This record gives sequence, structure tokens and C-alpha cells, in this order.
Amino acid sequence: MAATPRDFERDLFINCPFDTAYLPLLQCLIFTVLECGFRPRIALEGADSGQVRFQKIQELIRSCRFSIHDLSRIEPLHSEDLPRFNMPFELGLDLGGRYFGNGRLTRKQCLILERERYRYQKVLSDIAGNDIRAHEGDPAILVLEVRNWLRVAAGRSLPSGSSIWERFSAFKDSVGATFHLRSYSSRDIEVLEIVEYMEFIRNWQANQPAPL
Amino acid sequence: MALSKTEFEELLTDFRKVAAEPNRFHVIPYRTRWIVSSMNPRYTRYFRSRDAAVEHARGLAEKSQGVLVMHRKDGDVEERFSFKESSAQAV
Repeated sequence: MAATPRDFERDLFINCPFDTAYLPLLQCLIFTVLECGFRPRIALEGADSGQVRFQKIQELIRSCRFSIHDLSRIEPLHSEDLPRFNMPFELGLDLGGRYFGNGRLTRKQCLILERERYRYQKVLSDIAGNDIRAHEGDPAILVLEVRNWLRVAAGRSLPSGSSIWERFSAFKDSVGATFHLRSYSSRDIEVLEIVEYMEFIRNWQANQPAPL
Repeated sequence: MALSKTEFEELLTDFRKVAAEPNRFHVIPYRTRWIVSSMNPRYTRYFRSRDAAVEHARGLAEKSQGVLVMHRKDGDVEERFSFKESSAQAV
């Protein structure tokens, strides 16, 4: 089913690594997107094993005006691994939608992230003219890059980067304290499903409205 | 950890209570500065040094019998000290 115009303007596709090492950045990214008033959409959100992943990705790309692509895994996480090609592939699909699609797809906007500023040029030189932003593996920088891009791309007023960071830190304290209270370890937070993590964020936001 | 629906709901119920708890004063490193922050009551102040931020946040937590929460550079919690009793206790 096609996304409604309202959903299309609000939904933001996140194309990023799903490994444990990236998880702190992914959690921070999701928090920032929600704090800015957008709805994060991610391939992990669906529970339907019958749906082919490529089909799911196509649907997400088609239904989101905004997207964030993190190419950090152009180098393997461990020396014995191979680099991951899913992220550049999905970036290509997204850009294809924008340039070869029609109607609202032509208004699609994306942010391309990498860990280091110019490293991608060695493996993906076709996008060398694009403005790629580097987060240096630092969640505070990631917040700032995402917030600043959304401010311009969506043309709306947003909370400052420092305010989002402040609230993300307080949110992490609330999650950690709750898990401690229930005698779960901090590692248990890492294995929460992404949809569960989003549920925690939404509940927290309901208690602590953002200072827009 | 795969949470059952009941376990998840119980966790969320506790989470709402913790999130609404007043007087949790956070010391947060942010770029070249330190933020002292509280969500309830709403409070934000910037400091140039960690020591000054900690001293200020500790004073606020003591006065309100609240909790001082020290954060790492990645936002994770490093330590919590409760002032709900007469002296600071790590929690």
C-alpha cells in the first residue's frame, strides 16, 4: 500500500550496519530522528519472515522522502571479514528512485554518512561530488550531523544538537536504571529488538516533551 | 534476551516511573564543554571544566536529595550517586 502524503513527508529510511559494534550509533540515530519529529523506518522493523528483504527495502525507499545511509562498513569489522555491500547497494537504489522515479520520488533527500571524511572516495568514487558527512564513530557528532541535515532538508525548526544530546544521555540513564532495578544487565539492553527500543524512546518522550 | 510480552510490559511500566523521577542531575561531556542537566525540573547549564560541572551538579543533587549521574563521552552512564539518604551512595 502506498504511503499517505503525510507519512511520506514524515518517514525516514535508515540504511546502516546492524552489527553489535554499530548498535550504540544506531540507537542514537533512532533517538535523534524521533526527537526531530520524523519516523524512523528500518529493514529490521518488520516481523514478516515471508517477505523478501529486497522487496521490503524497495517498499521502504518508495515510502520515505528522507533517508540516511551510513557507509561505515566499507571496511570489514574484522580482518578476516569481507566488506558489506548492502549499504552502498541500497544507497544506489535510493538515488535511482530520486533520479529515475517520478512524482513525489523526485523530492527525495538523503544524507550519506561515513566514519572518516574522505575514505569512501577510494571505493565509491562515483559519489565523490556529493557532500558526505563523517561522524568519526562519535554519537554526539552523529546527532549534530543528522540534526543539521534535517534542519535544512526539511526546512523546519528543530531542537539544537546539544539539547538532543542532553536528552539522549538522560534517556540512557532512565533505561539503564530501569534494567538495573529489574536485575537485568546492561548487556541485555543491547539485545532489545529495535522496535522495543523505539517503544522505550516513545514512552520517554511522552514523559519529557521536546523543547521545540 | 528475548523478552516475553508480559516481561516487556512490566519493564515499560517501571521505565515510566523511573523516567518521571525528579531531581536526577546529569553531568554530560559535550564537545569542549560539560553540561549539567536535569529533565525534571528542567535545567541546563554549561561549564568549561569537569570539576566545576561536577561540583555544581553535586550541590543541586544534595540540596534536592536527588541523584547525581555521571556520563561518559558516548552518553552511557559511568556512575550514579544517590543523595536520598544523608550522604552520597553509589547506585
